[in-house]
Amino acid sequence: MTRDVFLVANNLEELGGVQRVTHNLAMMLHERGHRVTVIGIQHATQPHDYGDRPYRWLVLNEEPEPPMPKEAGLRGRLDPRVRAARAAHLAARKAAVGRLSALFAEADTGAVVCMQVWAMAWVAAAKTGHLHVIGMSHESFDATLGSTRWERVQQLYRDVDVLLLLTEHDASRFELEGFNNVGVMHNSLSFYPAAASDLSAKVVVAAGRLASEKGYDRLIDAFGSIADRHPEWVLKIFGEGPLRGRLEKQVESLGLTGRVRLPGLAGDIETELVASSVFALSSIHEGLPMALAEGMACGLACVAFDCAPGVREIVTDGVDGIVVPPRNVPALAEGLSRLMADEDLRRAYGAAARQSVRRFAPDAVLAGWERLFDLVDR
Amino acid sequence: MPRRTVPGPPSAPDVSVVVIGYNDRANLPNAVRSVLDQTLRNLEVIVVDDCSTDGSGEVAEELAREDPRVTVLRLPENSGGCSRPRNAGLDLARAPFVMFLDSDDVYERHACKNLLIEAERTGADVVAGRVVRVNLTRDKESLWAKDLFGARAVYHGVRDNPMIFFDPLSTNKIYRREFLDRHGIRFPEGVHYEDSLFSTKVYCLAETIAIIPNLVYLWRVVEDAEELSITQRRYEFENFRDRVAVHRMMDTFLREHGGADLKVYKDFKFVRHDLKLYLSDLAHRDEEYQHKFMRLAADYCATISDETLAMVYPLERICVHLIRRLDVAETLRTVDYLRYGFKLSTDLVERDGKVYWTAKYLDTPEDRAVMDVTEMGFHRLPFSRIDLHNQVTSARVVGSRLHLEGSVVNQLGRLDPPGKLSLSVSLRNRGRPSRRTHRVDDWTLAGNRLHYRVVVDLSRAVGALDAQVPLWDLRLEITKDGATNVTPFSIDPAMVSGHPIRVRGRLGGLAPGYLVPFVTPRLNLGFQQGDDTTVTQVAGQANRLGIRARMSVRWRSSKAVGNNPALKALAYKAFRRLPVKKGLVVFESHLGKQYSDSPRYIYEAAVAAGLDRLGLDPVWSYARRTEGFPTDVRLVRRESWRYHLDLARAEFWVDNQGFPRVFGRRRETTYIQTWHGTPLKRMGFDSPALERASASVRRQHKAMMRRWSALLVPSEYFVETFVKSYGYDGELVRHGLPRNDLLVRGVDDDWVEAKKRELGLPTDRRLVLYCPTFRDRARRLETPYELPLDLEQMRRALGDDVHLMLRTHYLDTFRLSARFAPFATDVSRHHDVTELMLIADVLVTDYSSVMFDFANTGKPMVFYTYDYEDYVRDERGTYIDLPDVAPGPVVLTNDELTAALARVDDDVEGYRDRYAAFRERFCSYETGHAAEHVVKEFFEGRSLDGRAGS
Repeated sequence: MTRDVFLVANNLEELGGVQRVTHNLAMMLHERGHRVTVIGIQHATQPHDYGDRPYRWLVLNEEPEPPMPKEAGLRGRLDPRVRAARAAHLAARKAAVGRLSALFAEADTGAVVCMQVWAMAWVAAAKTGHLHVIGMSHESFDATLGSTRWERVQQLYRDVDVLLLLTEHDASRFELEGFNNVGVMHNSLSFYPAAASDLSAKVVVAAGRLASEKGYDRLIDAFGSIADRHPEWVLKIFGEGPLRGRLEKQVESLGLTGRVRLPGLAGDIETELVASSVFALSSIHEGLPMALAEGMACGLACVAFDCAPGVREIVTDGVDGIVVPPRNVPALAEGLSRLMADEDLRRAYGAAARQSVRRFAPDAVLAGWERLFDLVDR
Repeated sequence: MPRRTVPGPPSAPDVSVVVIGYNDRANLPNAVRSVLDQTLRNLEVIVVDDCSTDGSGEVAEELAREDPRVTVLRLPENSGGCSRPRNAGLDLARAPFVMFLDSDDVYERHACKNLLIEAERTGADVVAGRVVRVNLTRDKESLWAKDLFGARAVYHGVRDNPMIFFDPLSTNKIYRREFLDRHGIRFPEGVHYEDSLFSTKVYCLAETIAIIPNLVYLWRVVEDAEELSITQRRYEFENFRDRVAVHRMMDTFLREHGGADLKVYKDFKFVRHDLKLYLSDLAHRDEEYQHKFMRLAADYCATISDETLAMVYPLERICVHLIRRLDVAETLRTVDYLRYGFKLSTDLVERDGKVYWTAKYLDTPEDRAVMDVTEMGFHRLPFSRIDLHNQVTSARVVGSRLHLEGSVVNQLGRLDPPGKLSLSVSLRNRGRPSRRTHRVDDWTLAGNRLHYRVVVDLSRAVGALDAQVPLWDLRLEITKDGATNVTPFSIDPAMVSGHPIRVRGRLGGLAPGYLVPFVTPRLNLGFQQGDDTTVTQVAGQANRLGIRARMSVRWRSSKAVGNNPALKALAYKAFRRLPVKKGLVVFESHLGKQYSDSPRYIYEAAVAAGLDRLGLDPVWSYARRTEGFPTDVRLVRRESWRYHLDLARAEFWVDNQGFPRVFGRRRETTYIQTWHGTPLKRMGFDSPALERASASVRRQHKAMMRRWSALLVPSEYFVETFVKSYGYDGELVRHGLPRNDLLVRGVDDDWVEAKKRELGLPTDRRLVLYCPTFRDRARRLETPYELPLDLEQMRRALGDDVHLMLRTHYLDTFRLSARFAPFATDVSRHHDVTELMLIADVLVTDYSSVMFDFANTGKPMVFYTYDYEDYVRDERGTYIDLPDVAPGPVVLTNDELTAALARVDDDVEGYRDRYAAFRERFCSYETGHAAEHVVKEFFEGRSLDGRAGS
């Protein structure tokens, strides 16, 4: 049975995790035959070109919404400029919500899947008619709890049909907090290569934004501390970001030039991964780190910091990879060294990894969405 | 979210919900709508009206017209119960699963779906979900039977978890239709408490029972306003008789269906829960009634096995034995304990080194075994903590004077000489800490009773009526040898008429004021403010206000006139232009909450060195209460105008956390920061919060740090972690922490002995201090703090040798049940944890920095890290790996903790080396003279014009 599916996020144009996941999901559902509409509440300041998409893609607010003025209180309420600004904001919001309701009203049966908390304020205000409302969180419970989003999540998400989390652990945490509508949904891999890596290349690989939360400085430290023991191995970190300069300096100061490379964005990450043997995840925070799953899909043996429940959702220590305590550089180094030294172990973990991340393959995840749609229809 | 319209009646509903009602037309639509609004839409609702006469039937039919999923069945005759309507509804139900709901309750929005999904997933015959009891009278919610619904569970038969018998409801469950039909399980008609019998049948026969932790059902309860009135009481006997009859039916059923062994658990619930409900009424009845009642109860108690009695609390066991002996008076005394706040209205008796509940029934060894309450430790309680039951025997009001006569139980001869007794009466408003006391002179001690007569002029006693909190408590205070026991006035509700007593009103007596006496749920005498037209307030409502009392005190202080923080901040800037006041030192500890920690010890060292000689003028900041602060030093209220002035002009600031951000430090002020703990968890810029924070937030943090002139450090580890992570680059004082001086040097035994007596702690036992850290993640969550100790189990294993001191972090509050008074003391509010560490023999902690302080004493430590996985895996992460460095055993469960405490002496040798290494690493700079050092370095040798060293 095909359905109308609306995917809503703050904006769908940035080069970020949520945007990639949303477009990925939209494509999958579209190819399955559902009538997909992707809605960004507003434009991004730094849009990335996602190319032409076969599904409908709208921006709700062409112009950014006039903000709610901050001067509350007696003085603010009497000031005519403040009053005007307030009125403008409310009117714009009302109009936008109206446009959203109109879009929903066109639909027959299906669901609205809201990907971010800020966007949820609009969805909650709109008339959803026959459509089910599904909230999807892309961060861990702890990240939400420690942020300004917590109060809004409390208000907006208890009554939706389902609140989807990325991991079982996070779903349990929300359930313990009295959310009686939790469910788990994985993101899907954007690729599942036909052939795995042959694990012959002496390459340790990492991929992600060169920003502090990815912890690449620790990875470089870890690699540096064992580089002499494995003289033929190199570390490649694919990606771009604000820390490029600092990381390059770190490589230089540790005398690792040539051993550690920062090749920038990968043209075809799949090829690069398959040409490596070990995948390293050195992040400080993560939601559900799909980069790790991608590495495993290519049959790589991986080492990861246990920095979020999402890590253990993907990899099991001692079964299909190595998981070490977060931020612990010596432990990371040790894990890398083990995999670099022991080819049999690499192969064993690599093979197990490739099997176990099948559940993140597009067809498996799509089946999960179909089951979810059936469930909310009951 | 708006209600969705429904596309026609379901041809194959997943769930049938039977809603029953009788003369409840106001609530019926809410119940039905809570089903129609379920996220599970494919259901049918069968409303069964039990021949109502108030139009409920018509209301139901209107609902059916609005939504085709609703069917209405109107019974031709009223059945007088729930069973017939439910059975009738069940007959009509078409779905493979069925649920039941009463007209005055509601479902949670996802209840049906969650129960259905679990039933399908597990194949269970019955699935139960969490219940919240909403007390509409008291405006309170409570989790009902919460131990049962802590986590998802699947049981293959009730024997997997017989405690399920504590949940006899049928409205929080989903049942597999085929299971009910196969066994012919229906609601028993013509019987009250049919839910219990129905549930017993289900539990006995179900092969699979599932539990989900999700809230499914909101059980709304309106407490009868006249709970203690005569009309209500009239039906008590019938209710009890019906309950016993149902239990007999349950027993028969269990016996006939292979469940005879389950009676043990079913009876556990009877003793723990059902029995007590009916006993309290007995006191006011005539002998004939009492005898009839006890006969009925005793007959049934004869069927309760020793196995059940071994499971219950000692007092519950005693209660059952006394019922069997048909002893009304003694039974009621156990009820006082079990139902009314652990009151000891009995006369305990000591004999042959044991303590018995009563002197009667001690003839045979078996009897004595039952009555033996030695392990409960009443005899070991200090004078101030033992319950000296005070019963009012006569109460009269003349004008505004209250004439009371009563007697106090001279429990275990505690009131006997030597030691002079003095009595007084006090009246305290619940919103204020202060109280007014009046001496009582008219009393005599005769054997095991102290009789008194007192006249309280309420008009004078009250002083001023309170604008916020209208509740007053009356207390009798008995002092002997410097220790005071405070006891309420227990009173028979029949004695309290509820007539208002005229007292002086507010506005200096211009407005009339009245106090209305009332009886608290624990049957104590209290007063409530009222006006001329006030109807008698009753216990339940009064307590609701009591709960708000706590809130109102806070509200009051923040809304006071002339309390504008922005204005004060401006004034502060102006004050700073005034000349520095030489010698003025502002001390603050934990944001003014306590007189404690390093600031305290620096202050005391300064006092010892001579304030005049040093030319110092100290002032202490307090947040709200001045208790615990020294009386001979000037105190200033935190964030008051004076506080702003003092900080602006002070020569020294000394604190352990950080004065409010708005206080920039002027050049002439020296800010000595003592900090309050060595970090285990990543902090400062290492912590995710600050790592992710915006540049301006980080700048703010750095600015706060730059205010410090000097930072005291206890170890190089502290420098590597705290100092580095905050990027502090000012002066470091590597001389240890003043608060640890006494821990390093030790104190003499006399001091320890005296402190124990001051705190009401026993001197003949090992003192174990349990001091867990604050649970970060719990801070914003709904779940209240729960002590992770099984006190009952610990008491049984360790009670002879150990007394626990419980100190939770000041941001977690919990209530220690009076039941454990002989075994454990709540010292969370004691202002100085250093004192507790000095008198403790063993420390139990998890991740609290007290471990670093306590290590200075060399005394044993045990680490109870029941949530270690969660703690280290959270975002912040730790600097060190606790199991690697711990100088004592690291245990994960309560059982392991008890075992570790039992063998703590044996373990000392084995941990000697680790302990030494621990001290070396985390206490390296401790000298035991840190406070003196600070005084010498900073306060001495200042130039005459007062300019500080830095």
